Amino acid sequence: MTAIVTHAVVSPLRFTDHPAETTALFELLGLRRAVRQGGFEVLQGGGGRLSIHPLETAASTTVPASSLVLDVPDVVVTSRRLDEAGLTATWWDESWGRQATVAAPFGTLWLNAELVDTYGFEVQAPAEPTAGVVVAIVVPDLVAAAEFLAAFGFTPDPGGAPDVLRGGPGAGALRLVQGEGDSSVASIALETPEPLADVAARLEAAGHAVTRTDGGTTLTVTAPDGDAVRITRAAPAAE
Amino acid sequence: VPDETAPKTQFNVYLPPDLVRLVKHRAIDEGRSLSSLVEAALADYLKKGDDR
Repeated sequence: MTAIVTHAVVSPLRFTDHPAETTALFELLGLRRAVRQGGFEVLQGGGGRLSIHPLETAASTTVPASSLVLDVPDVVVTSRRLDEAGLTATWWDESWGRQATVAAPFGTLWLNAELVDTYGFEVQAPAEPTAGVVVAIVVPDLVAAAEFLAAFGFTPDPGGAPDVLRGGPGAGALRLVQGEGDSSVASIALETPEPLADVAARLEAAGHAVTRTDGGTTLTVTAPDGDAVRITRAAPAAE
Repeated sequence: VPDETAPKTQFNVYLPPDLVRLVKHRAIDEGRSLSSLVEAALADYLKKGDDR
């Protein structure tokens, strides 16, 4: 399927009992604070972004969890294009903007409008992020999921791993994991252009235990809720 | 009296954009969802009508 939605950005939500500690960890890993409202934080990545949502004000879950969301410039236009392509999308208003869902081969994909009306939000010009967001989702059918996500502009790198899908500049990445699990539960990983030894040293200096695997090409640190966050070295940007 | 436990249904209406903006801002000020605020406002309006 060719892209029918452009400028979609990987923007997962992390619902946590420890919002301040989780925010601090991801800042240490290279994401940067961009938007804040109470305990809710949006952390900008070099690609993609991550929202930290206090569990106590979450409507959709009562336990720590991550959820895949794609940010799009205009939810209404996106929903109309998806409908025209035969996909079933439903949009509605929220206090901060608009939101939609679309039926996906792996369940329901959530779409959020980019924040335009910033009333009530503290918006910061973020410092330069050094890490990009990679969200892993469990899908029953890798081919169907990849074809569906291509409609949002996410495709494998030419010659790269077929299970890693990238959008345009700044869009972040998705990693498909074949399985029958709950696709709404995504794991969040980061890729960084920094030497991993520098990242590991920074984590350990802050008191985090770091595990090195895959011959030292992957770092794993435990987030405050107990889930593992993997950090890998980003491939150099193509010239 | 609305049943708080009843399943919710989507309810689309056309409103002036400025009113939509004010309602959304009020929801943010009160730290509640837009649906919760509109539900409370409509229920309150209907209750006041019943009391007349």
